[in-house]
Amino acid sequence: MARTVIPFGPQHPVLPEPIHLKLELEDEKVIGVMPVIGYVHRGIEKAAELNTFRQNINLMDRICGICSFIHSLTYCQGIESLIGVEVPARARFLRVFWSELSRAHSHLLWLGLLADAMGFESLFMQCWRAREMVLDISEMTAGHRIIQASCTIGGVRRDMDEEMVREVEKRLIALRQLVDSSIHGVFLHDPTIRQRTAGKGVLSKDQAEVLGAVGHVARASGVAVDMRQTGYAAYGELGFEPVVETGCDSHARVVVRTRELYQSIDLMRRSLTAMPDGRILIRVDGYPVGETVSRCEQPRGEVIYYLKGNGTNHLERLKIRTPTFANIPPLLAMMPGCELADAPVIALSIDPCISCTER
Amino acid sequence: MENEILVDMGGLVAAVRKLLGVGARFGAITCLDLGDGFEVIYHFELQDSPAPLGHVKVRIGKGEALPSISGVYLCAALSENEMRDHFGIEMEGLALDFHKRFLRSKDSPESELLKPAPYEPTPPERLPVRCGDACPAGIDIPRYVRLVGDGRVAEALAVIRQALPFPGILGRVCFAPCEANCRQARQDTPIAIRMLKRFAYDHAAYDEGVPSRQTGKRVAIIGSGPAGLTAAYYLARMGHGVTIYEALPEAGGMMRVGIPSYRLPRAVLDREIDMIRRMGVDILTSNRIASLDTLFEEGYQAVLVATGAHVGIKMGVEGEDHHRVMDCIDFLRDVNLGGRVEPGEAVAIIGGGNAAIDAARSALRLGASDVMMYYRRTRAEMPADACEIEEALKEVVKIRFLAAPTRVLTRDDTIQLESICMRLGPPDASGRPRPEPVEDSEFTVDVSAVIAAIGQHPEFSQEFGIRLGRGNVILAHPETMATSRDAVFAAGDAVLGPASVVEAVRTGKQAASSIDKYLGGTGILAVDEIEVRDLTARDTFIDRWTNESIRVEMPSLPVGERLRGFGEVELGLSEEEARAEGRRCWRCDLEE
Ligand SMILES: Cc1cc2nc3c(=O)[nH]c(=O)nc-3n(C[C@H](O)[C@H](O)[C@H](O)COP(=O)(O)OP(=O)(O)OC[C@H]3O[C@@H](n4cnc5c(N)ncnc54)[C@H](O)[C@@H]3O)c2cc1C
Ligand code: SF4
Repeated sequence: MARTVIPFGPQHPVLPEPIHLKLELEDEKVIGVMPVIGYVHRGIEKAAELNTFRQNINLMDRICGICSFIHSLTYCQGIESLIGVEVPARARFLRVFWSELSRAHSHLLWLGLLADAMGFESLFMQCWRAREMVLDISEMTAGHRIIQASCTIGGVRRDMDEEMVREVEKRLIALRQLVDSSIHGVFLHDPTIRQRTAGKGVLSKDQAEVLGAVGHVARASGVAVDMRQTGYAAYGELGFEPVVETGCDSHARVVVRTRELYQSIDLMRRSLTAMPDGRILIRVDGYPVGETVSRCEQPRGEVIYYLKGNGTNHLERLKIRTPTFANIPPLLAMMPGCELADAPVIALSIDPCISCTER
Repeated sequence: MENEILVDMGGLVAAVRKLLGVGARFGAITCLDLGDGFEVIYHFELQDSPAPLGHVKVRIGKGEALPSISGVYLCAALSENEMRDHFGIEMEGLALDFHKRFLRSKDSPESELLKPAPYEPTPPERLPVRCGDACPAGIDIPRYVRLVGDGRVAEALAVIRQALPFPGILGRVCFAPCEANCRQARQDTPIAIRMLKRFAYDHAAYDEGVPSRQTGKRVAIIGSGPAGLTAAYYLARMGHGVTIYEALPEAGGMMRVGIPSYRLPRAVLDREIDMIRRMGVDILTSNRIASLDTLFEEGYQAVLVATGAHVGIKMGVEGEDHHRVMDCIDFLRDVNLGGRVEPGEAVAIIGGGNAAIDAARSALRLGASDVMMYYRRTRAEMPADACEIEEALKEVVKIRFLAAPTRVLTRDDTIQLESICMRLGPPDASGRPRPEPVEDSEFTVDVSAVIAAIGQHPEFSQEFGIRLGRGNVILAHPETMATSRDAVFAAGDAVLGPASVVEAVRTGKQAASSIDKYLGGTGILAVDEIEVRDLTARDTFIDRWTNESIRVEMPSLPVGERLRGFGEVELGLSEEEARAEGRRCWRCDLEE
């Protein structure tokens, strides 16, 4: 049978991420896929050596627009462990709050894009309407809609007063209601969405384990990897159970993420309630020495930072492994066997973020 | 790190296979350039998540090929390709090969993570800052402030000395326009930039610069104030022969005969002037120059006029010529040159500027018990420095606002000052409210002396033959300081009217540069090559949040002791205070 190679991306209407997939087809069936990246490599790991380690916080904030806060959080946690700093409790709860806010933002954005990729415009609008509420909370609490820039070495930069906490609470309830009324049910039960996702992009549990899948991709295949279980920031105090599904397909990924949306809203509310009074930042003097690995759970999965300090103001090495980087091999395993028409939705189902993959 | 497994290259794949056997999950690969080789670290999560990480470490030499583990963990192939892009390491048995074009494109830097970088990294950007912009001499302020904060005083002093030759003097008398411009001035807590400069000077030594090869050119400088001395310093360093002519018996200009010694101890002044003498500059005192022609006849190729502004403005009131009515500049000069000055018990000072305050505080030290300043506007408009006013009030100088003299009634040796009350009217050309006399509000007081301090202007002999502008100042090009006459340059108060020491330094530097150009040089000022490695980064938010920003108070002599003589009032910061103050700086030059 005739074989064709169809280039998918880096410019493609449903995938605004600069990744290029060479899809090898037999008729309409995908039988092989080869990724090409390198369009947006920014040399951030090198820049992190040239910057001072404190300037790096701002650089980490900008690795990704969506996981911005968690990038700087992972970085700051690494530096804190190298210098030996105990972060004040209130700051740890605020870190959870902003992490979960980023997650809610990310999940809503992705659900919207996925709906859009399936041609479900009105659902896209609903998701992004909800996302707007999240951005408003971000703007109110952090002063920015996208890059919160609130994490720093030794704590967080911004505090919330009673009034703001009450207002956030109110908005989170409204957000939950909106997700309830017009997002959750549709993603779970709508027949079109089911048809486009169920049984598509299957990744078995074994494959997920062996290929090193992370985040919702792993959890939708029954692998309970979620860094929040390690109890960093205040997750230990708040208690955390990962959301796991066993459907192994794109639909399971959608379900994991819609359920996580509720979980994030819940975590945000609980962190604000449980947050103790006190300072949000302690002064950190000294320079990082030695090596450490710092891990956090981003909306897209586990992020790994390796840091090596030499007692000066500059790091010896900073290595960043982002979640999409780990989810590319699983994507290559999901695709073969699918119809060309399903390729975009499957590619989207791992929620690829190429700018952080390439750094 | 915990759970490190050290293996050699041969044992790598086997070790990784063992990890697969126990169900470890592959995480990432980090490569480090150690200079003589690479260290490659494979990160695994050892059991079911959440579990501790294990790290397999391998060292390889440069040029050696590393066996790929992608045969065991396929997903590691991407990390291995990345490592190959970044470090140029050869891989053996890669399951997926991107041919060194994984993250790199053909124009990306080659192997960017090698050390030292195989390409020229862009130096970190430093932004212009508000404090530095405001410094006429162009000192790199945030850098030295932070160096003091780090306790690296000698380097701080070197940074200051790159921009000017008198850190000791300016650390004491500079009006510090930088502080008013400091971003923290908005909260009334500007960094005490001047005090830190003084601290650096007091606690570190420096070598004076070395004059370069002699050029054989000769320059005459008229006036040994800061403008003349600065120009002399740089010209001498550039190898020109410099002679300074000074009318007064001692060198230093207004720094010697204007600024009182309780603010600028003469030891400091002498030390800095001596440094300039040691550079080979001749200072001929008691040598008034009446004509520039004679200088050119003596063989000087260029002349710098830095004669300052030494003539007091008259009040224009009746009785002003009485010998108990003095001009502030004359009064201070006599005091400073050790003349016998006895202002008496009750002294009236006319004016509200810094010179007026200096005169008032000097009068107190000379035994006056009742010193009253008359100023025609209110405190808000007073041009004198706020701290200076504060200090004067502490020493019990009284200030009568909204009052101006109308007459001095003289009877032999006793005099009376008649003044009139004023009120503020609509703003005048300077933007300040215009004082208007209140009718029939004259009042008289018995005084032993009146000192007029309402300003001064330059004065030149006709024979200089250079064009003057309004206020009797020399018309000079604002950049080159060239005057209307060929080979004649001007600097300092003679051009600017009464200004400040640091403005005199700025114009002196400019003049030195253009004189050098005029004499065939490059005009590039010789400064000490110093290498200052910045260790500290800005962490403004930490400081903004964790410490209430409080400006240090300069410790000073108790008032009772001050009035016994002309001992220095400010005592200087302690090491601890200076470091804390330096650390308070936000280091705005590194603003993201
Ligand atoms: C009372 C007072 C206090 C001050 N306090 C401060 C302060 O705290 N901080 C500050 O920054 N500034 C202060 N200033 C201002 C500052 O001193 C002057 O702006 C500065 O000294 C000007 O430097 P200059 O080199 O232009 O002139 P000057 O310092 O005035 O020097 C000019 C020199 O030229 C000499 N000269 C003049 N004519 C001739 C001639 N024909 N032949 C030979 N020599 C001649 C003069 O005798 C004088 O020594 C103060 C001024 C006064 C009056
Ligand atoms: S905080 Fe420091 S850098 Fe910023 S303006 Fe003030 S002195 Fe200059």
